[in-house]
Amino acid sequence: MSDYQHDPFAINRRHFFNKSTTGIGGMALASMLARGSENGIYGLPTSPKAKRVIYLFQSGGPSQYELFDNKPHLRENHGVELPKDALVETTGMSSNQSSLPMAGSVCTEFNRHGKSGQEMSDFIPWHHKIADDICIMKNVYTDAINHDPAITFIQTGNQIAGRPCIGSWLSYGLGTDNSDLPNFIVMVSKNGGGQPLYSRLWGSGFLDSRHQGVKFLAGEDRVLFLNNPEGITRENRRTMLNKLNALNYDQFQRELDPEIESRIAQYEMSYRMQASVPEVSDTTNEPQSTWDLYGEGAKEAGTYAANCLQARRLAERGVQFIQLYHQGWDAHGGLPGSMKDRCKKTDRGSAALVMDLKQRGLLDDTLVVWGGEFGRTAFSQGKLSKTNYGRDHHKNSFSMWMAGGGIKGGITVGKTDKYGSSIVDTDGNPVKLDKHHKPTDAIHVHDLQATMLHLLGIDHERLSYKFQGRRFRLTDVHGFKVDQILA
Amino acid sequence: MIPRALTFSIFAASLTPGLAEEHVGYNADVRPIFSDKCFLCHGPDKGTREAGLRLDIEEEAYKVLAESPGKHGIVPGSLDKSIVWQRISDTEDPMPPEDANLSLSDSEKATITAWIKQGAKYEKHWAFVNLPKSVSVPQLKDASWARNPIDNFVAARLEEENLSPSPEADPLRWLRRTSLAITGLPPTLEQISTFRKALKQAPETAYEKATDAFLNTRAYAENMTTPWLDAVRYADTWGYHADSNFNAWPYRDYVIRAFEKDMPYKQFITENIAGDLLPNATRDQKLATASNRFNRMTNEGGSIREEFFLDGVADRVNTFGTAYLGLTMECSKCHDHKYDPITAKEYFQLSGFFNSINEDGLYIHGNISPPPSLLLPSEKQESDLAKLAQTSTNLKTKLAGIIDAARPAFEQWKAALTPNTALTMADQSAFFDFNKSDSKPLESRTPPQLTKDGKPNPIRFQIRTPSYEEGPIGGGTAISLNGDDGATVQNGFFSKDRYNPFSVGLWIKDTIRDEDSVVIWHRAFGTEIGYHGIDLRIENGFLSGRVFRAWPDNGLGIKTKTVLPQNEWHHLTWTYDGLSEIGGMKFFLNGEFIETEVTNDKIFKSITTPTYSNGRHFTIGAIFRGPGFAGGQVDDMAIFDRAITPIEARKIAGKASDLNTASDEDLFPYYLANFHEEYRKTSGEIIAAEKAFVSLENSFIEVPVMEDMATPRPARILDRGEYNSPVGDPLERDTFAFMLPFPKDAPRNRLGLAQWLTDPRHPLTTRVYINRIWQQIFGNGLVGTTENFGLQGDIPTHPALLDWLCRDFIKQNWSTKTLVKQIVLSATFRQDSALTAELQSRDIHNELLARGPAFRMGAEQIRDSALASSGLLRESNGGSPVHPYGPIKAKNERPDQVHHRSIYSYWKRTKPQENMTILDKPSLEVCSVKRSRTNSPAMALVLLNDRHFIEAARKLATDVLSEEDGDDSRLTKAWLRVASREPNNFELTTLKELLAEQRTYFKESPEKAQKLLTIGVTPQPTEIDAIEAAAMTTVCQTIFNTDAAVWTR
Repeated sequence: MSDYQHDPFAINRRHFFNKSTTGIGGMALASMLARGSENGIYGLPTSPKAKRVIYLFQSGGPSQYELFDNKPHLRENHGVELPKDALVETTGMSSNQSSLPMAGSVCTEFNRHGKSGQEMSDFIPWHHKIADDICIMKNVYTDAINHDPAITFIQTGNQIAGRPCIGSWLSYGLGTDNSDLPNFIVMVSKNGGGQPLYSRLWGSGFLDSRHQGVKFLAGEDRVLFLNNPEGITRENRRTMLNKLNALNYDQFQRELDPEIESRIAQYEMSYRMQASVPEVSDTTNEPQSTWDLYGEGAKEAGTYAANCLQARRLAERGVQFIQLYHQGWDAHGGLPGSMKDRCKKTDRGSAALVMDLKQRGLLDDTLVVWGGEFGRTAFSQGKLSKTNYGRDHHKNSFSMWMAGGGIKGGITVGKTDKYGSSIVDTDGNPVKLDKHHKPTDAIHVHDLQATMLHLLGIDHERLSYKFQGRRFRLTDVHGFKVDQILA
Repeated sequence: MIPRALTFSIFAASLTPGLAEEHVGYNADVRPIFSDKCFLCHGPDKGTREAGLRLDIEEEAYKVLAESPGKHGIVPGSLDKSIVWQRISDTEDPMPPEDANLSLSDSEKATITAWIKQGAKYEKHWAFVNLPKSVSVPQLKDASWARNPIDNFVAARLEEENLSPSPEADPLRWLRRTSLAITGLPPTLEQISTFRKALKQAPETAYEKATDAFLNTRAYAENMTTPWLDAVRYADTWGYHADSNFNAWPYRDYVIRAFEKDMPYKQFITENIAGDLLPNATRDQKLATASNRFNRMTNEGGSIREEFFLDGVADRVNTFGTAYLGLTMECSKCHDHKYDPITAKEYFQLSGFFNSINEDGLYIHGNISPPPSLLLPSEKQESDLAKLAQTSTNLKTKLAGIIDAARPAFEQWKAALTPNTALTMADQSAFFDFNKSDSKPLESRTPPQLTKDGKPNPIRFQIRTPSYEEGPIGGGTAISLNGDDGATVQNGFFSKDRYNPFSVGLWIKDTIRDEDSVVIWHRAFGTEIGYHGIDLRIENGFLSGRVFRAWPDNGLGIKTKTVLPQNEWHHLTWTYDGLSEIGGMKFFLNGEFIETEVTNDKIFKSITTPTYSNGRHFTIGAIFRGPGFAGGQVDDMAIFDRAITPIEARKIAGKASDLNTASDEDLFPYYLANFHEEYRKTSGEIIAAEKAFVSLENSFIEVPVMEDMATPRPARILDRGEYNSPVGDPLERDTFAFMLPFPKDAPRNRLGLAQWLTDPRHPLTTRVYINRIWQQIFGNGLVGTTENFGLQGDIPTHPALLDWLCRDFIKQNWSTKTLVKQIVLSATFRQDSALTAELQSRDIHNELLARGPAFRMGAEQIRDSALASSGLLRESNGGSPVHPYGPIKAKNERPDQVHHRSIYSYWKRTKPQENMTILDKPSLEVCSVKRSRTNSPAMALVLLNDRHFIEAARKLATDVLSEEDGDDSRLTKAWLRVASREPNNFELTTLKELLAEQRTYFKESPEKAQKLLTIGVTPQPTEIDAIEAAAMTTVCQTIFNTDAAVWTR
């Protein structure tokens, strides 16, 4: 019996185009076969600036005060009670604190860097080198003040569980060009500690499970279930799959069910993935210049730097959405020490990635996003000393940066008041944080999401999925693209 | 939706003038278009309605438009006069407008056009019309095919479509399909051979016998329970953040029991919604209400309880909407529903049924069930507990006798009193005077206990920066507090559980009066999230004492009725007798007993469970992340290990307490507590007995359930659904105006709601449930949108069949087993499922039911079937969830946990089992009534490489090698066990080729065979040749990956 040879999509394709009225890549066979209401994007993606996204998620809420948002006023008044009128919503963790002293970023210094003169702290020296490539946004704000709702909100557009994350939306909306690797890959720095991460953050919510993120792990089991069982070689697996395909094709000839053909194709793709994942993971052939850039730490699988390097390798191979997570930014107490440590672990990797993408010409069509789920308070949570303090969660202002595909590098947008806790306009007047209005001075999470989709060529108002009778969007019924950060 | 034939013909008609138009129906043809494309701006939500035009209601659509005098939205029969027609046909300024991102296709425009021309006749939405009293079964031209009334409805539709049913499926195909539909497992070899024998003997009854046999298994109940648990978002953890465990499994076992005994669905849902409110509710009936408590909860620091409480209530309402009514309730939380006639007000009226249990909205650490909850002792535990209670009661009786008999001794003692006899007090464990002038102002003046090596170990407060103010009684100072820094005693001081009596007396002064509840002292495992322990608070001037396991409904609490004057010194004594009853808890103000109100009077289990590392020490003036005693002063704190008597309370308050002038009423209890040895000894024995009681009770399984407060919490509209924006007056609990009204005489609580829901006329209850059962058996519901029966949902493919099934179901006493049996025995279900070229082009989704069902099995069915056909499956009677193999081998894998059916697997919402989610099991964070069925590379990898499947293949290989001789019979048996039929020639030949290849492979590298054979916890029998076993393992694995193994056809 000869090995199975057949165009597995012959029937599918015919079926696909017969049924589909919108006919776009992401809506592959299974969802078309699923009965129910028609779904889809109304209108094709247009002139994308970016083809892929690398999202460097800093989980826990990094403090804007020790990184990008320099506040001399706080430093000068370190330990002085924060005026009542500068206080915005606090969590239950510090709302009972009888004293709320201002905490200056006394552990670090700020200077201007690059031709653009971007202001950054000396906690992140490697970022100084990419000052001209990144767009710093000091005026991001969000809706939620606790980790779980806030991180769920920024990753899925809703605080409630059950919605697809950004990567899943893109997988659904854009499909994939790469048939050997998953199009949405997630990597979490090892030994993260800190606040937990949840599967829903890379989950596909009400979209089907093909759109969920595939987690790349450190170590031998790079992708769960990817490795053949012990004792089974790749060649042996091939012979087995040949027979399996033959059996399934025999069944197909009797049942005429296109799902069987699709399934044969999925087995073939899984077989290719078994080769392509180790290939993309194997960095032994990287030249010395790579290690000079990312640091020797990038040789240790699972570190943030190693994941950044991995992200570049995945980007080179056309993977569409690459999501990194680094935990531990939740500095309620002992902030100077913990911030310094987190910066040390992530600064170089983030910057090296941008430089590396740039030197390879990939930065032009790769969008890099850096940021957490919220910011931190101007006052100290718990006791403050001359050198030590903590900061509670803060949702009304925080800093993020973006670089690459379609982003104007070397600029800083947004301003906060002298306490850093309220966003102000260019004239210094407080901005009313109302997501129903178009943002000029403040960037709501939905605006950020709308902008990301825009850069990928998708109108966020047109990418929808009908679930429970309603067309859902990543940005709900909100969001405006942020024009001032676009190249 | 499959385009109905008539839609095509309308389209054709519009292109070919002169042809007679077919009738266009509002429900079938027009409403889906209006709803999807127009209602957003011209539907039920008045907040977003444009131009004053509303198209979902007939009168509104016909009337003169307020904003365009003289014009009408729709004029029946007249296109020219209908603004709607003008605008949808307007190419310059079309409707929907460009910026709506919606547009009408030509055929949709043609449908609306034809409908207006034909008179624009509206119909009520099919799913909101009461279930008809009876449904007539269609007569067929050819009645020979039909086996039961289901088939009449199906055949009638097929006749309309000029389609014939598919031929009957091979009997074994039916058997496997039925076994999977009913039990979620393939038939066993015994079941196959029994069926084959029966077929030969009496073919007509063979099918029914086999069906009955499947229905009478626990496997049936397990299989039916899975989708139900999806619907009620059942999981083993709370779902947010730290995602702690939640004792949910007794509910899972309840559902299995209910399906196993075929509990009428009416009773089942009544128990689920309102079991606690039934007269003389049984334990199971109360347990059933746990399904309302599976809303996700958080214990994340800083969370706002009101926000999460209201989110939890909303989740209950949404789940009720989707699971029981097929309605998308959540759409009407922030505004009136955009498509269905549900107003925001009605949403919150419905929420009133679910918001009135005494809960906090957040849960605390330490696996403590958030109240209200139900204890589920085993029979033995229950009788043991009764014995312990009896011991305690006996001792209390004994103590009463001792008291009665103590009078003579008391008189003797009294007679011996002299004017110089001072009032002494036994059992004092600490006294702090906080005198700054002393070298150790924070140390207890009671004699210190000794350490093991004999050194004194004084009880001492520690505080960051001690501060003192002038105390209440001349001479000494008091400790002054800032609210942030507490004074703490380490080393487990005041480690008291609810069976330990205590008294604490102290002087307090509050210079700042706070709205919030301020902690004067506590020993608790508490944060601002939840509460667990003992504390004394001041709440806006009222004193409150609490001995609590879980706020707000598991503990004892009292509160003063009058406000304490601010800025003055008061002496307060709080006493508690350790008997877990509110009567044993008292306040004395300035030495005198004062009346209090009860804040809670129900306590069970221990109050000393470690929950959170911070805040567990005896502390005055502050609590971790909570409001401390800022501006407060405390002095002369005296602590006793018993409830002190009134005269003693006066004594420590500095009030008259001369023994010589005291009344017997004061002296007698004082005497007993301090001097009567037998009384004191027996009191100690009571503590020990109470302790034993609490310890046993602490081991009881506890499940959060519903239990309404005496006074319902008012529900209000929340503006835009925001927790902090309630508007308007409290709302009356009610259901919707647009359908079956709430029963007149029913109570306005969940029990009344259940009565409404189970009214045989109810338009949704049975339609929604039966549709889900149909979906489970056929892969798709008769209504494709199982989750939405509203205006945006699909209309039924066979509306009359659905209604007939509902009526029949009610007639059959709401019996699920009868329903399932009827479906699987129908000729419709017995058809072959193979596609034909014609069906492929006309009805790929099988909406017309011209063939049998064919779909990928569910996640649990795939894994469970592999376990079953390999013989690894372990029977279970329920109980705590088990931990199956994770994706990566772990050290603590337990052989007794990895082979249960998936319904017993531990399910963590924030990190669900990866193999199951790849196979489309939902995360169960929210209600889910329909799963997707994907076909992905990840799914291929799970079936190929997950240890569950490798081990199953190895076990199957071992079995066939030891049970059969020769490759042919071995391979045939393996195939039969997995695919429930013998392999055909091609399949057998292919398997033999594969086996030969694998033999060669493993012969060349025997060490590889050894490696493969050690995967999984099941030992590999050494008597079987390793090369043969490994080669056969790969073959069996291949079989597990075939379409024949994972598809039901």
